[in-house]
Amino acid sequence: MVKSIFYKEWLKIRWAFLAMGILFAGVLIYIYASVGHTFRFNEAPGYWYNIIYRGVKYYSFLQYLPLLAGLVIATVQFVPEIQRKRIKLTFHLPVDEYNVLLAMTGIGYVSLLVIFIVSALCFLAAGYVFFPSNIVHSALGTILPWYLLGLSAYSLASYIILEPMWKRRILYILFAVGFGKLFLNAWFYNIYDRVLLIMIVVTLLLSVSVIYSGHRFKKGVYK
Amino acid sequence: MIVRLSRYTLILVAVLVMSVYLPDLYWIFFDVKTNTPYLSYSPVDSVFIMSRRGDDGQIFVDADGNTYDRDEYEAKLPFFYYMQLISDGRMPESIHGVKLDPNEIKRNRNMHRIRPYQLDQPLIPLYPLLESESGRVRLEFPEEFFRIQNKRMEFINSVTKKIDEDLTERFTQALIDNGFEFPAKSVFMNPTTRKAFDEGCFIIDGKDELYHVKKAKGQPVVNKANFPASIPIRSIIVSENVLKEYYGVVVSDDDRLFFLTYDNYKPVELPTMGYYDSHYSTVIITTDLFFRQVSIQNNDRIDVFVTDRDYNLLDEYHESWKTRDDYFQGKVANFLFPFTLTLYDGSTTFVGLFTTWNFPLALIGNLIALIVFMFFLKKEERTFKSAIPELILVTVTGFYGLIACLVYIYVPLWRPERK
Amino acid sequence: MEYAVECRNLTHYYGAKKVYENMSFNIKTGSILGLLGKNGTGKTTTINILNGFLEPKAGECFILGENSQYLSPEIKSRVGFLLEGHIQYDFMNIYQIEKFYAQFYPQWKKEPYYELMSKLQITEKQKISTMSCGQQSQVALGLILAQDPDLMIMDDFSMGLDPGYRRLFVEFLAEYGKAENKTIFVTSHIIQDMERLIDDVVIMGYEGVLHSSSMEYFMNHFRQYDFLLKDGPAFLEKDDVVVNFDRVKNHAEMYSFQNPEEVKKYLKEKGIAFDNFREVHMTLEDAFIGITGKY
Repeated sequence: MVKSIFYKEWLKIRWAFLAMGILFAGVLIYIYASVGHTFRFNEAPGYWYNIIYRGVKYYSFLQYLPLLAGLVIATVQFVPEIQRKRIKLTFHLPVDEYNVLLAMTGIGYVSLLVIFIVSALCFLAAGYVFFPSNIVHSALGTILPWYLLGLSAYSLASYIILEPMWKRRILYILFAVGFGKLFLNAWFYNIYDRVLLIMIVVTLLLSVSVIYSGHRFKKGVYK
Repeated sequence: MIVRLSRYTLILVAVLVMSVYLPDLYWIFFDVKTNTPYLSYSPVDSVFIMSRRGDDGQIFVDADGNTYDRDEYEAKLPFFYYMQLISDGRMPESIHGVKLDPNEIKRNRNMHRIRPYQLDQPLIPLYPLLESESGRVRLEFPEEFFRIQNKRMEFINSVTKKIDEDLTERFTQALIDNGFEFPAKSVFMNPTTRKAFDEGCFIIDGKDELYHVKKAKGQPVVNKANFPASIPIRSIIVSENVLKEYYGVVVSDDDRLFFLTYDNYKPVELPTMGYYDSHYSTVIITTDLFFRQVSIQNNDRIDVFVTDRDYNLLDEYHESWKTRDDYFQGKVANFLFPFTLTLYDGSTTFVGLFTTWNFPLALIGNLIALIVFMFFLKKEERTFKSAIPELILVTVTGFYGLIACLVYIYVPLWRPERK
Repeated sequence: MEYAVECRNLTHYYGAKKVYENMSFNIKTGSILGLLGKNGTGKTTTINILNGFLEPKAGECFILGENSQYLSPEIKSRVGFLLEGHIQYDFMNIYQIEKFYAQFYPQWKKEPYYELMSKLQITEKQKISTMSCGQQSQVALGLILAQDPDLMIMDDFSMGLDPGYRRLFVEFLAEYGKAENKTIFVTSHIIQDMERLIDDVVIMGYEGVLHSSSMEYFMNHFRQYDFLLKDGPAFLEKDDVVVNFDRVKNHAEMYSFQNPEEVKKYLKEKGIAFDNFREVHMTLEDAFIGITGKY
């Protein structure tokens, strides 16, 4: 049954997944092409200095990308479900309703993780070509909150889309935007190092938020 | 279970978000102005003189209450405004028998501002060790950056990305020869080329000993500073300056301030009289032809000490003012917001979840929120027993919790025990 | 099990607006029940309650013996559900959607599905969303047939269908229901085709259930009488005898469950002089309008 749900979700996700994969690949290529360019045309010590002491982030292009991926995947997955209340079909499947929702979000989560992990590994590998490990590891620590935001955004977007009422949706969006902004302070590298664990825990907790909206939908609570 | 978990998570996130943004929003509308004076010590009549923002713009006043206009103010501070005074033809020839030479004034004039978050910030531990005797007029960045590894001081070439084994070997050996114990605990330096000369870096080794390391004509110059163990070093703000009296400012773990002097690295304590907290105070240290001044700024007060060139205390100034909490707006805020969450608190560059609890005023607000919530429960025909976690939440988080519980309303489980 | 569906004392409000109060009805196993009503009388509300998508303010429904609020996967697999407008996962094509559903139902029968699909003028890879309303209805129907459920719940299946497809749908259902002894619950606001389909009828008005009985009883006992009012315009209030009354000038239309003799007696008792009294033959649609009123 999970296989079947996977199949359905995959039909919805596949093009978005492919597009996001290409986008990530494109941005990574762009990032390291410009790093290579900088090394060819500027003094390497000055470039290192700017990275280490001025907080210049050669990877700043990555900042909003996971967020975008999370929002896109959630949209392609859940907007078809609420159009004409198609989610009723899903809830009518002979499976526990929570488990269906968890399987659906699980698949979205896994597809995001695939993009994120593969891109992070490529980011690391290419980083080692140009920079010493200290700089590469610092970069990884700096992009981690952005990736966590991507996952949180996916969870939040899913539950907001699934919420049946606009008046509540708007309140939810306000909270979600406020929450998302907390992840996006990026004026220096590694500033989130001390709260990473909390961010991971909150992100994981949020992964079940879709259940709340699903539950409201299932109970027909329109208020 | 999972329905509850999802709802409580959303409620907690909402509380978190509100406690960050609502107080901010509130203060955008109702903030109160605090008035921090800028103090200097006048060499002309040996009195503190300050500029501060009055109701009708900038005013200039001294510690005895005399007010001045701008020209008079500038004339009282010739070490600060000597360019202006010379240009106006108002520069005195001498003060207290000391002849004033603009070059000497300039050479003696230094200012170091140390903000608490500068002492705690992320750092990629790669350092450029400048060539201090290059023979060139301007300093240049070396191609190699060093890092202190477990057993050696390693130089990496930024162009080739390869480790310079030769340089690494020479510096590591020089350190070991001077009794240096790997691995190092911290490195302090002033990594910039915008300075008159270079003094390399200061490294604390594995035994808490301070070492001074320079590169001169490509060769290592290592000095053990024999810095007293009674002064645990939190940070050294290295600042090469032409006065050549001290290498920089040492901030100790017990919140004292020292100049690290050229006199065999002997520390000279600057007066702080216990007013300095390196986690919260901003300190401005200035030197001029006559005085050394330490100005300690906190949220609610300023404390300034002036010494002569031999660091004998001459005068001090203390002033405190009302903070937000003392105003009516602050009391309202404390009532509305049981706590405030900020990502930054000034003591560090790192993001944290810094909470300020606004007790006891918040207790009244929380109580009102709780009563409102109880009325809501009654209206929804819910028992208090079924809402214990929510009641606790509202008791602790007040209006935040109330709003969150109303936004994420309770929806009964669709699956009670199946018969 | 005598009844596939039992609903007792359903009461529901949207805010202050009452949908119905104390509505009860049962569906005998193997029979076809039609829930008829104008738009906005609570047909979809009832369907939502039956499927557990809405918790009624009071009352409860049992589907194949289980409370509709807590349907287990086992029961859900025995209930076929046609959403209003034949909604399906229309981002799939007919093969993908069959493959998707097949894994959920152990007794899945793909032959009737593909038989139905073979009659549609569609291409192999055509997404369901690009098909016509009629074609989509056949896909949705085919999936339910393949599921082979004991109970079918069909929400306004006639919506958006051409007369041809509507007829096709009705004929198919009627035949299939009888042949396979399926219980079928249909709602519709188009009455025309219901006559040949349903065994029992529940008619809903804005105030709740207006009538509930077997089709046979309803068609045989609910009558329309036309007559001329001799003494000029008069009006009859609704009561035990008068279900509905309508009048254009002197020409009166009256609907009643009473036979002609009773009605004549009633009119005389009320002191109403009449002429040209006759019983008018009604289709189900006429009867539906007669009982619900034209407005």
